[in-house]
Amino acid sequence: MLFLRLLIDGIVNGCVLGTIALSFTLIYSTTRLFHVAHAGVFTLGAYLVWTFLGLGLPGPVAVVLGALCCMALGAATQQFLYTPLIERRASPLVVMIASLGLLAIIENAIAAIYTPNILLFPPWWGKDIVQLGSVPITYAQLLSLAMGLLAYVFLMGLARFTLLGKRIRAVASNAFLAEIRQLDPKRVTIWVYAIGSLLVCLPSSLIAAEFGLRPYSGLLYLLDASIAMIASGLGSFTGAFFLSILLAVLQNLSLMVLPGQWSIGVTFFLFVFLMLFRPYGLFAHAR
Amino acid sequence: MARNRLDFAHWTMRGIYLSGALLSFLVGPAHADDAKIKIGVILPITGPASDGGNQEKRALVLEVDQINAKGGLHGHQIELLIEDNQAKPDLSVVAFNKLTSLDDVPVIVSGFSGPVLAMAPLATRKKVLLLNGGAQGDKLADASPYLFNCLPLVQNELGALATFAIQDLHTKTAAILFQNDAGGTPARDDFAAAYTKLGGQIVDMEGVPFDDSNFRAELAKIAAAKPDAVFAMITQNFPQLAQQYLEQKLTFIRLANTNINVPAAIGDPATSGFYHTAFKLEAPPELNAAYKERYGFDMEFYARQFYNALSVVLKATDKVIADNQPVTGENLRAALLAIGTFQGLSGPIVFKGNTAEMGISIMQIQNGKDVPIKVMQ
Repeated sequence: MLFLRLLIDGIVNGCVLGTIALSFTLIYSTTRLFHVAHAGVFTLGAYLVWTFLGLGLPGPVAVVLGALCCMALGAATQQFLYTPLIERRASPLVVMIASLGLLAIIENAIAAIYTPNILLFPPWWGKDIVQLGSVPITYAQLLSLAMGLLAYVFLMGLARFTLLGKRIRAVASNAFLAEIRQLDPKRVTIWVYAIGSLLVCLPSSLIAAEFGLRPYSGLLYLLDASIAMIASGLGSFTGAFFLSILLAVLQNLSLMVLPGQWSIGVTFFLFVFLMLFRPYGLFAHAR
Repeated sequence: MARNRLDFAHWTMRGIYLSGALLSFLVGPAHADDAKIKIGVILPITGPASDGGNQEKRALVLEVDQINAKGGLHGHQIELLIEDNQAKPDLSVVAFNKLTSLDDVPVIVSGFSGPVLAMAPLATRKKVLLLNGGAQGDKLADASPYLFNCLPLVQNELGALATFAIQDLHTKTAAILFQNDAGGTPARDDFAAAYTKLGGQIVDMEGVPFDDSNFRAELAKIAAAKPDAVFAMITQNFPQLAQQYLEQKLTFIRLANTNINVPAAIGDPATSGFYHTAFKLEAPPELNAAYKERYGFDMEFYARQFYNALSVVLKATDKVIADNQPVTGENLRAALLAIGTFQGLSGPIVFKGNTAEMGISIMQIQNGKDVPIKVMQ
């Protein structure tokens, strides 16, 4: 019974984390830039959804609008911040610092506008409960599960079966050659940021609906997601998604043998352990 | 030659007079400003703990306005200098240094174990009186000779809660969900020690990070241990915790300390049924009316607590001024110890050492209302 509860809760948490990891992997594997401001987009998405709900819009409409705003912010970040820096031959480290600055601006703007206090979502579909066998599960958890799987299928489908996906793969593989082949890497990269930012709004809204909103919480989620991304091999959607689930499940199951205060340490221990044996990542080809 | 010398002396004297006049002009307003007695306040005005922090701020502002309206203390107006620490130790240290170095305050009123413990060594070094209005971590007992705690420490409070859980609620086993920080771990140890000493058994203890709000996995593990009662020692996020209790249909007795005593938690339907500790601090009708008139609602628990704490500071300051001494941290400390017993809102606050002594109430939340159950001595 306990095993089942921890397992299901771990899978749900893993799907939420996996969606963040997917969006981050899409951006990193294409641009090779550590887009720290993604944490800010994640947080802003939930605040926007909260605002739209406050305006009386239905939940799904609020989420779609929030996601579209995040999409625009992601595209604008690439167009107006990263592209000018890259054109001036800024190193990836400089771009990362610029990204960190953007994150600070977004978080502080949120804190200034909404206050740093916890904001609770109005009770909508997130609070109802269904029984999954003997395990109670909320609608928000069910949605998290469905959202994670859909995000994974969507990205895999995008990468394999669409022209944009093929262009993204070409740019990720070799941006210089993609430029020569007139695949317009700049435009492709803008799309990558837009799609990644759109995706990250979904888990942030669900997390906020269940546990409330805080302006400075995004980086913690991004940190966990980047562990999954790095441990999986820095470019594998399947690896990032399923490793997120595995890490969340193992973190939860560790409670069966360890007290709760050790659960965060378990995640990092697993990461170090994996890196020792597979330094290029679990899903990366051996180099 | 002699005339030149006289001229020189004449102009020199004029220069000295002018400089003196200029200096007195510059210094004059500063002296006037010094007539005010500055009291530093470091509270979580924003952030997860801001609900309690703003209650505390409201009470302090009201009390100072009341005193100033009556002419102040021996003609000296009181000025509150309020800094926001978001209940974080690092921000508290920055605020402490700002208030003591730039504003030269002799006394600081604050709360929360982590921040107060971080500021205690600075209070000792700078000889600034640090009055803790709400934190109860056991380490506060001897953290600094300049630190005074206006509430009994968590050891006494949780001893009372454990006694109530065993003797009145007839529980035999308990689990603890605690915040893994400077406030939560001593509370875990104190409750566990008191509960086992009375013959009870602790069947599980689960730690969660500060400000965590997803307790599902920990609650699932606690539920598997089948305790009669669960004691939750977290600073905030009680509504989320209570909601997750309901989701998992957990039926054990739910216990908490005074941290649950905020309107957002008490008013949430999910927290109905929680037993918790509180200190007997009732606002007199005229004070409650004044508070309600200004803020639009009754005086909350933390507001009453900090109103009490500031009365201690004001009484000590009054004595220092009456004794014709400068208002310094050292003199305030000496005055506080010399007075010993202060008149609080609901009875005397006695300082035999650095920590106040008072009775502890057990309350139960019933459909949005906090109902008194018993007073433990």
